[in-house]
Amino acid sequence: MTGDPVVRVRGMGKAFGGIKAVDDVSFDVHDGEILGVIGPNGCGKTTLFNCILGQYRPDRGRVELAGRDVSRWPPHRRANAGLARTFQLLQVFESMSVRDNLKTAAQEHIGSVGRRLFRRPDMGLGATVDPLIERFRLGHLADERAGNLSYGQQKLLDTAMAFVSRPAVLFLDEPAGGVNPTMLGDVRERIRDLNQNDGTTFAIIEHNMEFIFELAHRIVVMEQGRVLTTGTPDEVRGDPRVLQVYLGG
Amino acid sequence: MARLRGSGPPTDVGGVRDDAMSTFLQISFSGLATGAIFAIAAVGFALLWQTAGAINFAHGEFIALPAVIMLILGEQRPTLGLPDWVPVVGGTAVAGPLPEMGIIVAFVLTIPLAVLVLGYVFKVSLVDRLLTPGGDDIPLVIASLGLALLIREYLRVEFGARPEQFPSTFGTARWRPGGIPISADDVGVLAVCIAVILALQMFLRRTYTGRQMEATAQSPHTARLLGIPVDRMVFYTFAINAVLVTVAALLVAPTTHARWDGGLSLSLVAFTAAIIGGFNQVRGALVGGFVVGLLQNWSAYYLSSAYREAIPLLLLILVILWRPQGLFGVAEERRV
Amino acid sequence: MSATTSTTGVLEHRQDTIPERDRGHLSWPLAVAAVAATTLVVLLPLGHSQLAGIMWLWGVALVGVIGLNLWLPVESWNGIVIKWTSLAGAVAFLIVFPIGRTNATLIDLGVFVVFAIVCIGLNLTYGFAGKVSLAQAGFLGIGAYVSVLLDTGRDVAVAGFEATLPNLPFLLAIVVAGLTCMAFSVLIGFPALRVQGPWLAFVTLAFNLLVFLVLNNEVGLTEGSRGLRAIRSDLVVFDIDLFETRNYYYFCLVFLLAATVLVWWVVRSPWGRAFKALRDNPARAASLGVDIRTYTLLAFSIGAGLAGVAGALYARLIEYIEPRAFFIGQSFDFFLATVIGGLGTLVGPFIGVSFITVLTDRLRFTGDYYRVWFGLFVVVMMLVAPKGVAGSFDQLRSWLRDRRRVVPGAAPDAAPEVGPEVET
Repeated sequence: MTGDPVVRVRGMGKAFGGIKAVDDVSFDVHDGEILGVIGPNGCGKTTLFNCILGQYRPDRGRVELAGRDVSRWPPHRRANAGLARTFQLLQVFESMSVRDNLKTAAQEHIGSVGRRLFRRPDMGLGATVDPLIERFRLGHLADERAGNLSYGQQKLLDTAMAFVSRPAVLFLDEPAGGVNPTMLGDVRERIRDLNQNDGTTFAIIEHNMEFIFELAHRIVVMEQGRVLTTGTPDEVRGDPRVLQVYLGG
Repeated sequence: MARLRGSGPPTDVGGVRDDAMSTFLQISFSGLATGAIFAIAAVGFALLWQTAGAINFAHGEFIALPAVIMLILGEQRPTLGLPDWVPVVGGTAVAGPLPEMGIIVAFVLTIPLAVLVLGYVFKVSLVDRLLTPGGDDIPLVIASLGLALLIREYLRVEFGARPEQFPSTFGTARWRPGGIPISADDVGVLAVCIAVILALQMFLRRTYTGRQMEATAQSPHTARLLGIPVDRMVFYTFAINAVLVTVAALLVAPTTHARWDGGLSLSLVAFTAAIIGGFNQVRGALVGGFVVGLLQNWSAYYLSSAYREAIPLLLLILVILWRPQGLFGVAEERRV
Repeated sequence: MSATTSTTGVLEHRQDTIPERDRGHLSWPLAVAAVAATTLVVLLPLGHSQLAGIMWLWGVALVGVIGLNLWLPVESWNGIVIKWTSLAGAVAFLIVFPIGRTNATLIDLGVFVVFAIVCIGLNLTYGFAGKVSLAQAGFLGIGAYVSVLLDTGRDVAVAGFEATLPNLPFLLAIVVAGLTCMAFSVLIGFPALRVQGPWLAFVTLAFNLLVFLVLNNEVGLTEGSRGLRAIRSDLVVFDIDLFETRNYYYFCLVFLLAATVLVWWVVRSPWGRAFKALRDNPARAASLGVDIRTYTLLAFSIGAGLAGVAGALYARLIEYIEPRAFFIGQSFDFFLATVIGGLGTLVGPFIGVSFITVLTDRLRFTGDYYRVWFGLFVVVMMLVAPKGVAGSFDQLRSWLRDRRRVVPGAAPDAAPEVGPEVET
């Protein structure tokens, strides 16, 4: 099911004013897998994602994508190389239509900036974007202003925007966060669908244990900026240290 | 800032050392005095930003206005029923410290007026209406620019024709400790500024109200949860700012002759000082004020007086490029 | 996050997002009425001579046309007809009106055209890409001085260096003026990557002041406050004698049309989406592959380049330039005009500039006090309608629309969910 490491993180470290938010973290994301990242609040999961994807500049450590060192690349370059993400607070371009949101998310991967000025406005992206809109069940809203969508719909759009460029690894920061419990199954099925049918690799931060244990192939447990343990959901579930972390050891 | 505080080349009056070092010291000292005024202006500016999230593009005009008010109050002594011992502003200067009691009285009278108009009215009628939480901050930028235009042009039309001789608050005496000429005005300005700033720091750090204000500045949300009357704290900030600009007006006016167009460059100086020092810190704004004052005086003497105002602006752009958190600010990475 | 929330509010803009099948039927009577009304507005003033009175009429008409828009979705065929009719009306007015006018009126109208070019550029920089600039008068000045210095073959002296400047053809000088401004725009483009909103406003203001100080003090280059004369005496382009004010006016108008088309093209190209993404949410845009540095610099350089070209045209229109014409107050006027006219719309800069032109003229009766009243007007305007004329209409329209319909499917899972916890 899972293949070679596609993303390698080595010795990642980031401190804020003397507090080590991420401390010497190393792990791999394997091709085709769903990797869960869990840990108590404030253990540095989001900071870790920000370091991997370039929003923060880590103090030390390295990120490799398919063998290439991308540690010093700006975020947009990492995105265009295949590292896509969503944020914890959902972020869509509110003044633009759903369709334009997706086109924006897809267009920067094609050609150079200069060339794009002379492309047709659509850039032939309709063929990519429209089926995706249907797949995410936003078809009836394709031309609606994204800011007018409900929270759940915006969350769908957010994920679709990260996925539209078919990234090598898709980093999701709490996809279940704030989602109505009745919708959780939907979210899980969609991620599984993208994983199984499109071969998309995922790395997912999640607080909802039930959700992530059912979904992930492997799980990284973090505590106070460090990796506590890594393993299959069953291994992690049986690990007394993990239990202790969550029960406040 | 039409004129520098006594930064001309040293004269060869008997007993004055005429060498590069004494020139440098003389210029630096008057630069410190100028910088002290800038610091006061910048602190008020930074306070407003910290506590209310308001950036006031009319800050310089807020300094020009009290200066003019003080002049008017001084001149209108008879009609205001002020006692005879209050001398007419602009009258003959008497040697010695505090020769012009009139301006002090005018200053005292202006403070409540400034707190009312530049503090309360400004807050309630403009800032509160235009600065909604989570909203856009450009309307306030435009409105305060409009306000600056309104005040500036009004002063120009009403008072522009006659450049007012604003009396020197501390007299015209000059001393020469160690052969370096120092004017009483510079010493007085520096002393007043340091006193005002110390008093402000004491207030913010040591009093209950001051601590509440600091808490409000750090997190209005948490402050509200703790039962701090946030809105009143914000108003106190506006009031403090109004007092600070009036002090700055008192100190800066003698060198600028209460000119109508002094406001714009004062705004830029206050902003530059605040940015250079790190916008989130009162102390940063203080240091920024002194840095800008020194830089202005040095560049005016050693480079070209025409570019006196340009050097701090260049520094501003450089600081934003290399250390957007300010020279003395703490780096704060943007949360995403 | 702060950057995100701060820019979206005022930047509501119109988009043709409804696909063709949903655009409804075109109401022919309405379309005819719109065209007729616009034609009337264009032709009616022909009998008058006062520029401002006519601009007033025209401004009212444009606002009225937008007002009519209130009851029509912009994306409908009717809305599209009205939008393009008003734009075409604006252009027709600028072509037809100058016929039989005095040179003074032509120059007034020419200034309007030149300023409209600046605001069209600023509309791209701020209206679409969300980057505040209070430096446009500085770029106007750089453009004006560069063009005049380069096509007169002057002897100049800067900081001890002396040189004789070349005598370039006028068209080339215009191009060089634009390119110079684009180069200078990098100076404020990079700071714009670090600071937003009010801070950026201040930085750009500082840049404008720097430009003014240089123009005022480098007497060897610019003659300082004495100014430079820039007579059109032997200006001939493509065998057209530009000394003739009317010819020169139409020459400027060509540039205005070109600027409009340029910005229209840029905005509807993929760049347009990238600019809007940059405005709505820069951090998210970067995470989706949008190179925010390149696009920020592009947004500034297009705006600055257009201001530079406008500056070159302006110098030869007025035939005299002095540093005070490019002071901060002028930048403020440009910014205000752009905001008032409506951000992120093609017709906005036209409305805004005519509004400011008219306002300035109407306030002239107050004599010395006119800038005082102008300032007061600005303050009140921000209190009453912070989003400008068109913005207020938009607000009203979306309010009307929201009352009429609910977004399809917005309800199901929109239950008041607790926002996700934010991990720090």
